[in-house]
Amino acid sequence: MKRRDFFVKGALGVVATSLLPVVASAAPSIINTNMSDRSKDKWLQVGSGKRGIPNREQIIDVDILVIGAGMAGISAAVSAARHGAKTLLIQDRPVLGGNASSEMRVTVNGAPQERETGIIEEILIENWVYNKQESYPVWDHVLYNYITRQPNLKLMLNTQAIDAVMDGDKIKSAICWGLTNETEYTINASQFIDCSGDGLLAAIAGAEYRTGREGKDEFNESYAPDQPDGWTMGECIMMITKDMGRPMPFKAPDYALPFDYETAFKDKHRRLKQLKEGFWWIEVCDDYDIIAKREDTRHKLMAYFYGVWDYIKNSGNHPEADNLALDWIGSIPGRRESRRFMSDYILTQNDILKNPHFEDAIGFGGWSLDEHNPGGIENLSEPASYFHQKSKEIYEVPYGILYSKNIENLSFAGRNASLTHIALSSTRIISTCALMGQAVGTGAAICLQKGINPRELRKKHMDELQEQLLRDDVFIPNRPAVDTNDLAKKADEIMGSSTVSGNSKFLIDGVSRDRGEEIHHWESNGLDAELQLEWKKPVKISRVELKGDTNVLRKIMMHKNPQKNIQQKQILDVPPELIKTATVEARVRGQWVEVAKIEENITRLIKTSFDQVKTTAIRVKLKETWGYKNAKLFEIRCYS
Amino acid sequence: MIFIKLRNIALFLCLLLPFNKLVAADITLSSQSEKVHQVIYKHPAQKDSSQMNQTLFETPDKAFYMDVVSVYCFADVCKIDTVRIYWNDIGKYQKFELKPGINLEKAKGEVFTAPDYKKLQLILKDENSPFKNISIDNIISTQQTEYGDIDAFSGATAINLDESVSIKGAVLTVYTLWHWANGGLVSMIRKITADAANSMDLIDYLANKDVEHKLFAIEQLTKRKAYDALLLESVKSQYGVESQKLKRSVISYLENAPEEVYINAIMDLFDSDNSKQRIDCLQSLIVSDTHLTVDLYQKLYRQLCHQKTYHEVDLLFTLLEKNTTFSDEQIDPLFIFLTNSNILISRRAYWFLENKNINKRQEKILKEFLKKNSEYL
Ligand SMILES: Cc1cc2nc3c(=O)[nH]c(=O)nc-3n(C[C@H](O)[C@H](O)[C@H](O)COP(=O)(O)OP(=O)(O)OC[C@H]3O[C@@H](n4cnc5c(N)ncnc54)[C@H](O)[C@@H]3O)c2cc1C
Repeated sequence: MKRRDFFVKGALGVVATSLLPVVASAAPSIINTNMSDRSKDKWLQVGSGKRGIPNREQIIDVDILVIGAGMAGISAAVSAARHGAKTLLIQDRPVLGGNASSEMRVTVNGAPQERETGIIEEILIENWVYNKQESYPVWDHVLYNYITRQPNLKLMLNTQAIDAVMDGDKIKSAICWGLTNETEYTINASQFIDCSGDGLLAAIAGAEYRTGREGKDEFNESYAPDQPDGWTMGECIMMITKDMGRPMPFKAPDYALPFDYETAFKDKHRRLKQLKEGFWWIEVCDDYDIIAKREDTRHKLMAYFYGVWDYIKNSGNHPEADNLALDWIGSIPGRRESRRFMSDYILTQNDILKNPHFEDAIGFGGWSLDEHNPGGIENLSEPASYFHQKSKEIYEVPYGILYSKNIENLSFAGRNASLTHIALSSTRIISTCALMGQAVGTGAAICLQKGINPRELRKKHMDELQEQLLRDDVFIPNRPAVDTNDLAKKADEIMGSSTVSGNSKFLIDGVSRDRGEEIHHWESNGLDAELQLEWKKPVKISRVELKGDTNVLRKIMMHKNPQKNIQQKQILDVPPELIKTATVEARVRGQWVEVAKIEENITRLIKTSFDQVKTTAIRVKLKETWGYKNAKLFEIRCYS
Repeated sequence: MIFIKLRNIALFLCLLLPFNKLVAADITLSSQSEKVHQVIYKHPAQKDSSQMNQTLFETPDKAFYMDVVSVYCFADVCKIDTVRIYWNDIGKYQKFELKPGINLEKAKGEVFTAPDYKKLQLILKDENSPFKNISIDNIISTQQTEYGDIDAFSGATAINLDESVSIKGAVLTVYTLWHWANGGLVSMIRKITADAANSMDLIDYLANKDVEHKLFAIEQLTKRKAYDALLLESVKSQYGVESQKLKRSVISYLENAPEEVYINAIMDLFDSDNSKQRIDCLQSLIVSDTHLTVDLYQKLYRQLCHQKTYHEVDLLFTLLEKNTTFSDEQIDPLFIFLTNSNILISRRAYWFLENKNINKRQEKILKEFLKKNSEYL
């Protein structure tokens, strides 16, 4: 039900006179679109004594609309807003995070080889400040706090994009429905970013997409099925149990389905290795249209889940579960795969395993090709997942898979990007999705500034996008930063206090993390360390930016079973290496003047800005970390 | 806790046999004069604390060895062998040995191949292997990841435990052996050696070509606050060795000395034509908050014309800035920097001198400098 422009014009005309009925039926083919037509309302507002019709229509103008607030959408919206675009993020449910919200409690994993930095890392570290207890409901609100405080960014929860208004091959507006306020929104924007996983808006707009599994031949993918078919990876609900310290009976609900454990356990992945946090192999898939089946799937998942739990509690085979009780169980299935929208490039298995270099790389992935079985728990004859293979090193993710090949102003990020089914089995990992999000958000903001669309951005301005991402602490493999505006690179001298490893000169080499043995950092010997940059002729500076250390080889995500992180001795706090307190000084006519103070810092990218000074030297005094004895940095940048 | 006993080893073993199965199985007696140390070490993969008593042997030529279990097994399906681990006198892992006919095993009962043993040796030699900072739980869940328990429940460590740093199918064995070779036993061995070493022994260690031995000696001397002339000279001379770690250790040894000893020693080092060395000394003087005596000034100023790099000149001025009053003799020599061809150096001097109490002649020099270099200031 793609709307025609003339229809919306009709509707918009009405908004100004808000209490009049909306004449929204100009196009007879449109059924069910005038949700906000309240002309039959018989409303008496007792306080004012007036009769009227409630206004349930709103028009909102923004620069960029981001649909879906999973970790991909959050990253997209925050980066777009940070680059000056008036951005709106809509999310059709009451909480943020998508599959990583308290509704599903999926762990925010990333490449196992080394961690992602940028927005996703900012969020994960911030969570340790507000939520050391690793509570998922609190995490929802950590995300809420993070998003609502960003300038230029507006958030609308419980708002679903349901329709697109087109102008040729461009989206003009998204029609959205407010689930809690009976309101129909017309949201006009220049750039649209669909990070909703399912991509209803993108689909209605006419963006090409695929579902199902490509056959081997199409992209020469050895792990693909011989013939193409309709299967997608399935959906799951999660649980958390509690040890009550006394025997706890369990009575299964009436709709529980019996669990054929003998067949199930023939596959080692399906065994019950823990009883604390759910079983990913209780999974229901579909071989034709997983979206249409959603409500049936949810019911089935609940039935299968309770069947398995009934087996655990009542078969007598698991006495270790005697004192366990269900403490939480999800009602909203998490979805791994549905639509994959087609872009100018389609990432395939070979791009993941052979790791080619992409000129338009915007981030990386590293998870194995973890392709769940077609059929899930309804197909016990196959293993629960085929852990085909993992790429040894992280692989590059290109921008060319993140915009629609046929809708000009539409980008996407996350699990709905331009991937084959096999490639998705690796890229779907949340932090990989978030890197895509940060890239499209930044990209859309650049498009807006230049009055172009993503395809042109890719063709002509890729360097600019990559430079911005690198500056914002995204790591792009094999792409050092060479920002010509960075005055630190032009300094005539860079020197630091006594050093235990690395070299202060590495801080301007454009690579903001170590690459194995290849060092790109400077680490002082002790604290109250100093770093100084000197220019022969005075330069004008108003921003100094540092990249600190968060140890990207260590895991930092919280877990729905906090005990697990304790067992694994994970640091449940801000990374101790990170700089907490520092000052920036500029030397003005021979005198040092403090221009910025950094206090309680919790981000790897430490940005300072101040009134522009004409200076011949910048000195950073690194006074305190979150626990580590030395100050360690990976980068310093200075800008006018 | 360490018990040191020198005994006839055979006799000792007889006593030990009923209590310690581990030792009993495989010890071959190599010498009558080995020392036996009973140590308490809980291996990180050990589930309970009941087997923490270990027997460490010290050979007459001061090497150490211990017979250990090859793997702490969690699924109760792996084969446990005894492996003999060797360390040198300062606890650096050297090699492992298996009894003839014994082979380590990987998953599914496959035995280690020659390349596997080679790789194991390389891994055990790497003190900074990823195994250092990960717990056994991590290893177990990583194993599960390898075999597929991932997706939502991955406990996968961010550390890449793929084939380059581990041996496929034998991660637990490698983990277990790495922690024997490089874990808490290392510091116990170092303590045994340190406790037995007198100053002359430590001087011998300093003379050892191996930097680790030199570092060991300096660490002990710092702990003992040993600063008599011979030791001081021996340590100081180590600064010339090409190792940043050693240089830092020398400076830190000096920084812990009584003030007078420190100043004399650091100024001796400062008296060098190596700019990096002078920088190290100046940095040390700045952080150690040294009082600037007349003598110190003289020593510093003797080097003025050798100060070539901006970094050291900047440090020198930073050090001088600790004083608030300056005599003419202290000010005048600094004017030499104004003529330096490196503008960073000359203007640093200019700004230092600008607000000092100076005479007319000096004022004139500064004015001329300002006029000539205003675009840089
Ligand atoms: C059970 C399960 C376990 C998994 N385990 C892991 C794991 O351990 N680690 C890991 O990293 N990944 C895991 N994944 C994969 C990962 O969760 C997803 O690939 C990832 O969440 C995709 O992120 P996204 O931002 O693209 O989409 P999502 O997380 O799906 O977020 C999209 C959001 O958009 C909203 N939305 C949808 N349609 C609309 C609309 N029309 N209007 C407005 N909003 C809309 C949705 O409500 C949702 O909140 C798992 C997935 C599942 C299902």
